[in-house]
Amino acid sequence: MFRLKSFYGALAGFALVISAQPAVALAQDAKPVQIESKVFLVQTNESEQGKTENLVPATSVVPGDTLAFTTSFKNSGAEAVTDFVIVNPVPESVTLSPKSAAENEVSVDGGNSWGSLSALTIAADDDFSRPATAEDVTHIRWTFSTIPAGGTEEAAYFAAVK
Amino acid sequence: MDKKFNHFRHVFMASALPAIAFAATPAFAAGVQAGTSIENTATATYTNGTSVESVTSNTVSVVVDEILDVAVASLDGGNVSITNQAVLTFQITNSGNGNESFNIDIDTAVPGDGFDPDFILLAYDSNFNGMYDSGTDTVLTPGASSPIMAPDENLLVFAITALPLGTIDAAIADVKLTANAVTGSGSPGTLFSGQGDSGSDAVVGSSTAQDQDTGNLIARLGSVDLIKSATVSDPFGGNQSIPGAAVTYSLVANFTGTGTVSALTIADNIPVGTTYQPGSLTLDGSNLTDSSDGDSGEASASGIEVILGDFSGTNSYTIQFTVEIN
Repeated sequence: MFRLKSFYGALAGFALVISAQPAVALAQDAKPVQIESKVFLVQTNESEQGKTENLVPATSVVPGDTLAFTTSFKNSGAEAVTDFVIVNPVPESVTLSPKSAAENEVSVDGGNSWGSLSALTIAADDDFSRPATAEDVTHIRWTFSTIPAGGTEEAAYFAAVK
Repeated sequence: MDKKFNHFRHVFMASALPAIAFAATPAFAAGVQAGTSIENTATATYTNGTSVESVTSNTVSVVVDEILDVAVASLDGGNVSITNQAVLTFQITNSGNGNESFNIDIDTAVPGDGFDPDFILLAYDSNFNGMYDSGTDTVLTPGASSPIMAPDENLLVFAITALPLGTIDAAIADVKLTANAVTGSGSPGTLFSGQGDSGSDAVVGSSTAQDQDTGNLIARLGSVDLIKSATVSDPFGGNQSIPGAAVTYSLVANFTGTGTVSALTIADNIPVGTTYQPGSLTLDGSNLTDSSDGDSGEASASGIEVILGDFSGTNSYTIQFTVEIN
């Protein structure tokens, strides 16, 4: 160990610079907002009383399962934050539920452009385009004008495993 | 929840959409491939005082389990004729979402059918040309496993059987081919923990991870009945068998059965004490030359021979020749 250190002694100054970086990162982490993502399996139970849906923690799924992805967030700072936007890429292996697609602002082009699904189109060959469907959605986002100090919210979308 | 739709940050023009290629998830009939990790991460951006900040969530992930499903289909589209040996063709489809091999078994002794063919061999279409190639396609021991098949992949399996002795013409046999997922089969939902692709769990799908289908053989046999008769006409206008009388022999060949008799040749000797009348050989009323030439018959002082070849259906042949009593 000592022999190695002396051998590479000329690099010691460079190593110091690298070791200083985590301190910078820590300072950046001191943000007023924390967000947490969770995933649940939507279990549908049908009984004489009707159909009920339960969210249960999921670790493994099968094609056709419906999942609920939630993002909860809290403003733990002393001041309100504004123009709060959560952007959530929709995993390739799931299809956004038609309801979630219709009720939220979505993107079908990797997050470049946004709108309600009914206003979006998919470019096709020969200058033709077709209306976008829930299957085309690549990203979903939620916008909140203000999150007051201490405020918490949760955003959620539902998607089916392809 | 306060959702705003009026703060679009980008002007949206459909005609100006950039062409962006997304990594496509393979679209299998059975869904996302087993072992795939579905990961979700959200990012938030906001204005804090005068600075714009962003924060990224943790990443949550779930793993897609392996669904075990299989389909077996007979591809022959009806009865396959068997006279000596025949090939039945089945298609095995991996209808699950994982890489899986299947144990393949054959049952030639299905109860209630017309006969039980003799098993010769099972083989799969290892050169993928869609047909059985004897000596080329890989032989499968009954009950042994197929190669590993990707989701949606098909494999042709050939069952070669032989017609057993004593089978009645036109009898029909059932031959059943069964495929079971090697990982396991059973009631839908049965779990094989950790035995799916990439360490995922394997779950039996709606097919029970087992399927079977039946191919049919129909025995095609045939036989030939030969009836010989003679008419005599003597030189005095009668029908006495006296020296100088002409005897015309008729040989009528009738086919019975649903198969085909091949290389049928009918031969007859000229009876002792008679002399063949040259040029008298006919087939169905048409003359056949005596010499061995292009037509199907030949005749000599010792006998006649007519080559009829394949013989099937409701055909009938009548051969006639005339001798004179010495």
